[in-house]
Formats: sequence, C-alpha cells, structure tokens
Amino acid sequence: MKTKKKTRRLSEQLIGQLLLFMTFLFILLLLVILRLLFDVEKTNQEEVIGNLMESNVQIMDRNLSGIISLAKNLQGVVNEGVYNEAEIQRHIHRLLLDNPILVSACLAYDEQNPPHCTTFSLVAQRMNAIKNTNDDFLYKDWFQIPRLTGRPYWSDPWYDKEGAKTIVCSYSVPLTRKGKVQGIIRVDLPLENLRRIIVNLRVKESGRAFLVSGNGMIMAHPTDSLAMNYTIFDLVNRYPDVQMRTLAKKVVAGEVGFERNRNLGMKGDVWLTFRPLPTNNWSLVAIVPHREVFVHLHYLSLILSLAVLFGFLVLSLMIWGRVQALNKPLTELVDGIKQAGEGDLSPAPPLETESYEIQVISENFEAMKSSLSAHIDNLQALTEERNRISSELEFASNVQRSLIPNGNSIKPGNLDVYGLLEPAGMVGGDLFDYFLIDEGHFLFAIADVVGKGVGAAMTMTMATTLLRSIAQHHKKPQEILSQLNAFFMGHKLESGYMTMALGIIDLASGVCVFSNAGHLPLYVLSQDGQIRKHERTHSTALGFFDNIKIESEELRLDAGDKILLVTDGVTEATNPNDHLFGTQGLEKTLAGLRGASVEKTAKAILETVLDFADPEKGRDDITILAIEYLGGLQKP
Amino acid sequence: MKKTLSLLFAMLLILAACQRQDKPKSANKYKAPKNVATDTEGLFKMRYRLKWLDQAQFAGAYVALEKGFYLQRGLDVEILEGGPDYPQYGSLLDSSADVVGLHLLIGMNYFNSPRPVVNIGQVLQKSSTLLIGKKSTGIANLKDLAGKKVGVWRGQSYVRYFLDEQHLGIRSIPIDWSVNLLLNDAIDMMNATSYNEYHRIMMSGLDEDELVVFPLAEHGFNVVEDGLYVLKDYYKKHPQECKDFSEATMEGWLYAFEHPEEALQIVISRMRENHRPTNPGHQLWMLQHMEELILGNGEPGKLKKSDLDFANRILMESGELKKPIPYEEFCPL
Repeated sequence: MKTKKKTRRLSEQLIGQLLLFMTFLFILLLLVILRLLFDVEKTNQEEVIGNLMESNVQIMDRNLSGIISLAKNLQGVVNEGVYNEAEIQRHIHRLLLDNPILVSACLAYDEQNPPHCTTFSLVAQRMNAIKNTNDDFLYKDWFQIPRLTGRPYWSDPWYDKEGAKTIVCSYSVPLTRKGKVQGIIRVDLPLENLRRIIVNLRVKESGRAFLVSGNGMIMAHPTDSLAMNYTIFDLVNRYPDVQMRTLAKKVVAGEVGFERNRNLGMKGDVWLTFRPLPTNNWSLVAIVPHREVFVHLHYLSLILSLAVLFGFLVLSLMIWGRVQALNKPLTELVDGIKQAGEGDLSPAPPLETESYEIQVISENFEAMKSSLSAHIDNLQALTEERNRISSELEFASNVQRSLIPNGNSIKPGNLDVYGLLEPAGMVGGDLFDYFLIDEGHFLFAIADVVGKGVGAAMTMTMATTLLRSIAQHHKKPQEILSQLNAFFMGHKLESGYMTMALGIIDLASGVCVFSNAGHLPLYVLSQDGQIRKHERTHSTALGFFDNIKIESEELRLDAGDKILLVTDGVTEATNPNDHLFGTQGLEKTLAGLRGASVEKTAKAILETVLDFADPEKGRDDITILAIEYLGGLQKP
Repeated sequence: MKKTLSLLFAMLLILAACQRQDKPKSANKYKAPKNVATDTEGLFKMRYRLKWLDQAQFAGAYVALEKGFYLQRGLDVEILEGGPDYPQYGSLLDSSADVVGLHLLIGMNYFNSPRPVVNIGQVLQKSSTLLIGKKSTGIANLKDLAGKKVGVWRGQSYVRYFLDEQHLGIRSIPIDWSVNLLLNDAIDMMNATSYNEYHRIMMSGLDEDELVVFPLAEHGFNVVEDGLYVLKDYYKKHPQECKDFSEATMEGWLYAFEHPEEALQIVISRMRENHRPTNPGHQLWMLQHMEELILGNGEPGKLKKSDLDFANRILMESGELKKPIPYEEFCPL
C-alpha cells in the first residue's frame, strides 16, 4: 500500500541535503589533505626527531669514544713494555684524575702464573689498586670475549664490586707483551653517564628513549627494572605479532628507522625511532606517541573541522533565514489558497515579497480569485434565471399538458379515442385535440407547429385555444382552418406556422369530413386489416399565405374503422444509420396492429419509433392520435 | 594432563597421610595455611641450598614453602641460593646446608667421596641439556664440532662426559653462565638447558632457524639431572625428615604446575626479595619447560633404577667409577 510521504519543511530539506553533501565533500577533502600533509609531516618529524636522537647519540658516543681513546692510550703505554709497574700505575692514576668518565681500569693477565688481575680506581683522589688472584675474572665477558676473539669488546653493564663499586660498561682490549697476548686491559665507563642521558631524554612530550646492546639487551631505560634484565626481544615477545620481532631485529642490526607501531603504545599508535651509536653496535631507541608526533596535524585537522563546522552552522542559519523569508509570503499565499478553497474569495492585501516568482503567482492568484468571484456571481445570476425560466417552463408545460385531452375528456359513446403527445423538451410544438362541437359531431385535429421550444409551444397553445373558439361558430373543417390561417397571418407570430389535419365526424352516419393543411397523411384502418391512406393535402401549411383556398374531403367510416394521425416526430425519427422511420415504417407497424385498440395502436407505434430512433441524435415531438368508430349511435 | 596431575597429587596426599598417621601434628595438614613460618618452635629445621640462583628452576621448593607443604610435615625449611659463590657439596661439608641440589652424575661422584651423599629425591626426570650454536658457523652435526670452540660450564660439568664419550676433538672452553660468548662469536657452541639459556639466546635476537641445536638426550645421553641430596650421615639420622622434605618439594611442584600463574608470582616475589632481576616472560618459559622434565618420565620425585644404571655405565666407561653404585645405597628412600 502506498503510504503518504512524510512532508518536511523546505528549510529542513535544503539544510539536510546541502549539509549531507557538504559533509561528504568536507570529509573527502579532509582525508585527502591530511593524507598529503601526513606524508609531509612524517618526513619533517622524522628529521626533527632524528636530529634529536642523533645529538643524543653523539653525546653518548663522545663518552664511548673517550673511553676508547683512553683504552688505546693505556694499551700503548702497557703494551710498549718499557714501563715498569710503578710507572704504569702512575700513568693510570693520572688518567683517572684527568678523565672523570673513567671510573676504573683493570690489567688482567692469564698467561702468568697464577692468573691475576689488578683493578685501579680513585679513593679520595688517591690511587686504589686491588690485586685479585681469584681466577673468576677469566670467565667474565669483559675478559673472555676479547681474549677469545682478539678484538676489542664493549661489555654489557655489570656491577664492579672491586674497582668502581658501581655499574659500569667496560671496554676491553688485548694486553700484549713482546707481541704476545698476555691478558686484557679493561677501562670502565660508569653506566650512570649513559643512563643520565637516557633518563633525561624526552622525545616530544612524553616519548622515552632507551639504550640497547647489539644482543638486544636493554642497557639503560627510564624504568630501571628493565635494564640489564630484559632484552628488546623479551619486550616484543609479549605481542603475538611476528612483525614485532622483525622490528626488534632491525634495531639490533644497527639500522636507522622511524616506524609506526600499533602494539607498543598504551594508548594508541606509537612511532618507534632508532639509530645506532657509531662507536659500537649499540642503538638508541625511542618510542613516541603518534598523537605527539603529529600534534600539528591534529591541531590542523581540529581547526579545519571547527572552521568547517562553524561554516556549516552559519550556512545553515543563512539558509534557514532565507527560506523563512521566502516561506513567509509563500505560507501567506498557501493560507490564501486554502481560504479560497473554502470559498473565501475576498481580495487579500498585496504580499510583501522579494521573490519575483512568488510575486507573479500572488498577483495572478488574486486576479484569478477576482475573475472567479465575478464568474461565480454571474453563474449565480444565470442559475437564478435558469431556475426561473425552468419553473416558468414547468408552468407552461403544465398548461400545455392540461390543454391536451386526457382520459377524462368527454368522448361520444360510439368513438374510442386515444391520443398521446411525447414532447422532445419540456414544452412542445405538437398538438392534438378532440371534442364534441355539438351532440352529433366530433372534431379531431392534429397539428405540428414549425419550430421548437417555447415559441412553438405558445403557438400550439394559441392554436388549441383558438380551435375550440372557432369550432363553436364554424362547423366545417376548411372553414376552421381558414380562420386559424387568418389569425396567424393577422398576428405574424414568430412561430406562427403549422401543419394541421382536422376532421369532423358525423357520429350518426360515420361520415367524416376532413382537411389536411400540409400535414402527414391520414390513415383509415379497417377492421379487415385494410389500410387506407389519405395523403392528399387540401392546402399549404397554415400561416404562410393569406387567403388560401382550403378544400376538404369526405370519407365514410364503417364500424370498427380507425383513423390514425401522426406528426413528423414519427416519420422523421432517424436510426443510427441515418435511415428515416418514414411513412413506410409507420405503415409497416400499422400492418401488424390489426384489431388492436386505439390505445394499444398508439402506444405500439410510439414504442416502435423510440426503439428505431437513435437516442444520440435527438428527436422531435411525437404525437399520435387514433380514433375508432364503433358504429352509428342508436337513437334512444 | 590436568587429570593425571590431580590423580598424582591425590595419591601423594594419601601416601603422606598413611605414613604419618602416628603424628598428631599432621592432623590438619591438608589445609594449606596461608600465614606460615611464624611459629617454628618444635619444627625440624632444614636448610636447602639450591643448585643455582633463584629462578623458576626451583619453583617447587618456593611453592612448598609458601603454601606450607613443608610446615605441614613439621619441617622448618630455609631455602638458600646456590650459584658459583656457594658450592653445593661444600655447603654440606661446612654444615651451612642440609639438603642440596645436584646433577645425578655430580651426586654420584660425591657418593664415593669420604663423606658420601645420598639421593633423597629426583626432580628432573629427563635431560634438559643441549649443545647450541649458530648455523652460520657451518656446524650441521656433531662431527662438525672437531676443532671447534665449545663453551662448557666450568667446574664439575657433566657435559664433559658426553663430549669425552663422543670423541669429537673439540676445543673445550670453560665458561660461566653467560650466553654473550656465543652471541659475540667468541665460541662456536655452548652447552645450555632447554629451560634457560636456549630461551635467553632466542631473546637475544637469534631465531630458531638460525640456531643449530643438539639435545643430548637425542644423542644417547639422556641422563636425568637435578636431584635432592643429603650427606649419608645426615640421612641416617633423619630419614623421615628427608622423605618428608622430598615429598613436600614434589607436592610444591605439582601445585605449581596446576597453578602456574600463582607459582610464577611466588617465584617472582622470591626473586625480588633476594634482589634478583625479574623477567616474568623468561620465568614462565622456564616453569613451563620444567613440567615436561619433571612429569614426563613416570613417577615424579623418585630416581628410577634404570636411570641410575645408565649413569653408572657412563661413569664406568669414563673410568671415574670402578664399580656401579648400588641403587639401594644411593637412593635409600
């Protein structure tokens, strides 16, 4: 079932559709802009953060390279083999005094028996040398790895309980005498030097950095418990994403990177940036929240969104205001139309509008209203007039009907008479009449006034009235017709022309004298079924010529003979094929009506004609008059 | 597995209950008291020197202590860290400990010493030992080790029996526990345990497919490892306490495997108390791998005669043992 579509205000529709489209456009635009700016900002931030990382890498590397220089310095002195132990110790003392980054140094010999090592450090600026003959040092990373590989080695942080008594990162190089490796020279950098850099390093707002060894060991971290306990692989191992391990491997492989990561952040994505220290295989790693890296982009998108939101708001208000302004006269117009629909066509005050279209509609509507109002007034007058005419016509019809003999009309006993008049409109131009002019004579007449409508009806009415009046004085049909003709000629009426057949029957003898003034033939139907047609006219139609000579004809009626007269409404009835009913049609009908009563004969003819006629084509008044002579009157 | 564990646990409890019916103290031993060790008066004091530093390798003992399994048996147990500074056998000799953790082969060595030790419980029922190296060294099988530097735990390492037996011609490098020698290519291979060093190496960035691993058990050397040992004299004096100690420790292990998260927390707490760096991920790995080693070879906690026979054969072949150690004497419980 079709439901009625919900109607919405014009302003809502406009704002809704416009905003929907604008929002879509804006989001699309924002995404494109942000995407483009993201790439620009990423490159920019990669450089900015990279520079910060690089400067810290350089600071740390200065410590490391400083230690390496000192180790080389000591290696040169010791390995040269020209200095005795006391001289070497003095040199180490000087090194310790002059280089605060050096907290301790160690000379470890495994080729001497027993293996021994001596650790040097400062205690209140004085040299503190601890000699250890316990061979445990042989199995420490700082000793064993460079000893086995023959290469310098940076150790993971470890607690030096003999020398520095703090956590140190050691740099070890082979100790040689006369070209033969005798042991290891170790110099120690306090981890605190590096840790301080790490702890104080802030990348953006809250990004934190940490230091990772070549084996992934976390050497320094703002969260101390992670340092020297976790490797970077321990940290990423908690995430099922295998990509995390790949990322960690990139870090320990000494790559430089700036990569987005979805796992590591507590709240949202982070950026992982890493770069190696040039001196060894350690790497500085920092984790920075995505929102801090792209803070400017966030602000930009926020500002852009707010600006567009404000723009939308203003636009909405403008549309709303404009539509309201447009809508006001429109609403008034609609109200006016509604009132007009309810019948109030009184003129409205002119609309105040800036819209040309609405102005035109309004003016035309007012004009239409005024025109409609005038039309309605006119129509009302016409209707009243029509009603008046109609009621007058009704009255005329009634008068006319009363003039035609009805069932109660006085009829002689030896005649059976039946007449019918079927007017085409309310009033007709046909007439039939019959009456006794004296005790022995019966007059009958049928007439057809030329024309239709009221004029013809008036003529017919006059003729009827006149007929009765004239018949009192003139007992011959030709005389009566002459009198009627004289009257019509004398008064020159508009519809003053008629055909008429008029006869007077001598009731005793059955002799009928009749005159036909331009009317259709008179038929006499014998009881034996014979149809006699008296088609000779005795004058022209009445009202055309003055002093016309009217003749008459006499015929004898036998008992059972019927006289039949019709008007041209019968013979000129037209069927859909434009064929006339004609006198043939009438005669054919009459042939089938042998022995029928006058009433039946008249009604049968009417029925046959109405069946024959095409109702679409309209018809003329139909009048049929049938008179049966039942025989001479018996004298009482 | 859970069903089996529950069954074993129930069996152990029933066993303990049957054997200790005469001791009124054990009346409420099934209720593990939360706050224990406050009143140690009248309890039997035992000091247990671990084989190594605090870690999940000894979770069973920490759990037994924490959950009161020792206390329920009338034992006041103190767990002492082991490691290079505290030699286990030395601790027995100087009476700083009553029970120590030792590898079977090491324990057997001390059986024939003037002050012999006896096994009162066998914790690890399988060999966890591996030889591990980088594939990049080109080592593909044991024969490739000829002339290679292999890091072997210094001291009385049982791994040397395997290496000697194989006649591989390696260059043995005594090492401590550090995996850095291998990572820095100072050695070609090192011995390792599946539950500890193997994981540390992986957590240093080496993937499994970058490593070559020879599990000793797969090369005819499936010697069971950590056991609980006391001096024979001590055992003679306190056989019931030794038995109780061993059972309580194993009850601790079974509990730990059934409640790994709680056990992990107990291990971590213990490590923190002793100021050891804690790495829960690594400790969990260790705990998970201990389960197979402890429960994967028949009745937990008990040294099997076949395992001792296998070890006897190795030591006799190496010449360190003239005649096999009798099971009943070595394992009197």
